[in-house]
Amino acid sequence: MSAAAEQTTRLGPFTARVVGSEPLGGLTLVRVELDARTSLGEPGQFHMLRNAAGRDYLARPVGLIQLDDGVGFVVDNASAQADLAGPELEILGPLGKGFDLSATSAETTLLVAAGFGLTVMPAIGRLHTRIRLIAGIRQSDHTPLAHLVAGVTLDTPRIAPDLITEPLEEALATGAYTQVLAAGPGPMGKAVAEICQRHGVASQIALEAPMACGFGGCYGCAVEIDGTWKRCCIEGPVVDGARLVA
Amino acid sequence: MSITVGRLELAHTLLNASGTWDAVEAQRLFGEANPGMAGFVTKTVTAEPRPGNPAPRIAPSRMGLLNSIGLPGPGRDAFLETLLPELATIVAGPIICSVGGFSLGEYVETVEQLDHHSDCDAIELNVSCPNVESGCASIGGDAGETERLTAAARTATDKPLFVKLSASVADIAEIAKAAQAGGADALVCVNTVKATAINRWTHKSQFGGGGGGLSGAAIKPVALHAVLACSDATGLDIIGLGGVETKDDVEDLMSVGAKAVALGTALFRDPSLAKKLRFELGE
Ligand SMILES: Cc1cc2nc3c(=O)[nH]c(=O)nc-3n(C[C@H](O)[C@H](O)[C@H](O)COP(=O)(O)OP(=O)(O)OC[C@H]3O[C@@H](n4cnc5c(N)ncnc54)[C@H](O)[C@@H]3O)c2cc1C
Ligand SMILES: Cc1cc2nc3c(=O)[nH]c(=O)nc-3n(C[C@H](O)[C@H](O)[C@H](O)COP(=O)(O)O)c2cc1C
Ligand code: FES
Repeated sequence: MSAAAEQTTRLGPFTARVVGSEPLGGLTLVRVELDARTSLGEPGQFHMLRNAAGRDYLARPVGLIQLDDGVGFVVDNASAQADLAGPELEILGPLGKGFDLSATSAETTLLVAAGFGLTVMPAIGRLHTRIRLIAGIRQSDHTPLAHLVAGVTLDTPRIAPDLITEPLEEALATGAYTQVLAAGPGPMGKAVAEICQRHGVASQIALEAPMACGFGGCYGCAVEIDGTWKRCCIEGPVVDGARLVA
Repeated sequence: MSITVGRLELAHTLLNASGTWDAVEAQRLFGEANPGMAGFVTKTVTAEPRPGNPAPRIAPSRMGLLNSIGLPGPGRDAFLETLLPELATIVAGPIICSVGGFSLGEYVETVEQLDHHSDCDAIELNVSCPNVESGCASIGGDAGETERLTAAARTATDKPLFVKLSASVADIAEIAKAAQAGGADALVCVNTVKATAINRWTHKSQFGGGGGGLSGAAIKPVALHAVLACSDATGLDIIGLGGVETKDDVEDLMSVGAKAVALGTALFRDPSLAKKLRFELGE
């Protein structure tokens, strides 16, 4: 979506050094130092990360977060992501298409995010302070993830099985919003896109899919876009919501 | 120092494996369409456009990757009119077009049209994809069918003709001999090995489209055996592939009979791998 998608990514992977990790409820915030050849990219873009000394054969897509004092990413302690503990990681990116923020404003844009989708929101909150965020989390020990989103006006996080779709419907019914930026797992993206379309509000949705490469080589990251299977890493991860409900 | 594989001249020994590298996206992202590779092998082209298998299409494995991609692609007409000419403007070295099909007629028609297309330098018959229901692997699993298809393709083209084999057969040497009898210039060994991932909760296939093939380090010994067996049986030139990650892997495959070596799954975690290996191999 954004112009940055056309910018050239350095042929890698390069090295990211793990410089610390902090518990974040049931999650871990891993702090990394990027080498000079890897940039953070635009909000919504991602990087492929792999611990060459670890047990994962292939890299995984991860959303890097710009923190007040550095760069990091968040992983779930329960998953194989613990393999990304370091001390050195291979990193390739930025990859994929990020959010187009050219029409974004704190007054008329609403953010909706759940799970790891929350990690993209600090970057947007930094550009547009006091923008409103509706956050969904799977379990209460993930609440610190929602609070990582500094500068954003946070509704009380919805803990599953409470759905983010209810407060989204209410917010859009006020007529105050012209755009929704959303990021989250599974069926959430399509649900948000459908609600937005019903209210005549534009939406951009960051999708997730398992990925083997992140740069279009494997066709493994299929997601339904425009009513057919397309590559999440090339068409997205951020797509116009209208393409999910066509 | 250039080499010749099945009448095709290559500047050096390293290629990509079909279906594991998108040269157009690589050009856009990295500014290089096929970095470190002596040519480019296209994703398998089918007669009609295909969306590919439903998600999920990949599953992790300890020493490799399981996939059930299902040959997504634009179809023959769009490939010939748009994609192949575009590839010719960005790719370094010759273009090897991988051809798939669901009947002998589909394969032969694509081969005929590639024979007339100036941007196609060689043709690779994929008779070994494990992830589609008919055609492909069912042809490559049978010596008679393999010989008939290769012979029909041979009649349709004078361009270098390669046949890509599966190790998921009773005796790969028999299939290799059949391809040779049909007139193949070289063999490509091996495609992914038939394999399955099971969803631990549903106890059903992890893949949206069933099927499945294993690639990566786990299959390197399988590839070594296949290259050795096919080389012994036919003496044909062979492009060896399957789990190649290091200089040693390249040299091992060459020592059992491969003339060129292709990189597949290892490119997913390191798209600069061909460049690194070329340097290490002193090429
Ligand atoms: C753009 C993008 C950004 C992302 N950002 C982040 C991020 O910032 N942080 C982060 O942690 N993740 C992120 N992810 C997701 C991440 O890359 C992983 O895919 C995710 O963490 C799942 O990893 P896992 O190890 O839990 O599951 P995997 O091992 O990859 O498996 C996926 C799921 O299937 C289950 N599973 C595994 N094997 C089997 C089996 N044989 N049978 C049944 N079920 C099985 C697992 O329990 C898991 O729930 C992102 C993904 C994308 C696309
Ligand atoms: C994601 C993926 C897609 C593939 N697509 C094709 C294809 O379209 N045609 C083909 O002949 N082989 C295809 N293959 C097989 C590879 O070309 C190669 O034969 C196999 O992966 C073994 O090599 P590797 O272990 O180095 O990956 C594919 C493999 C993978 C992993
Ligand atoms: S992750 Fe390989 S094509 Fe998208």
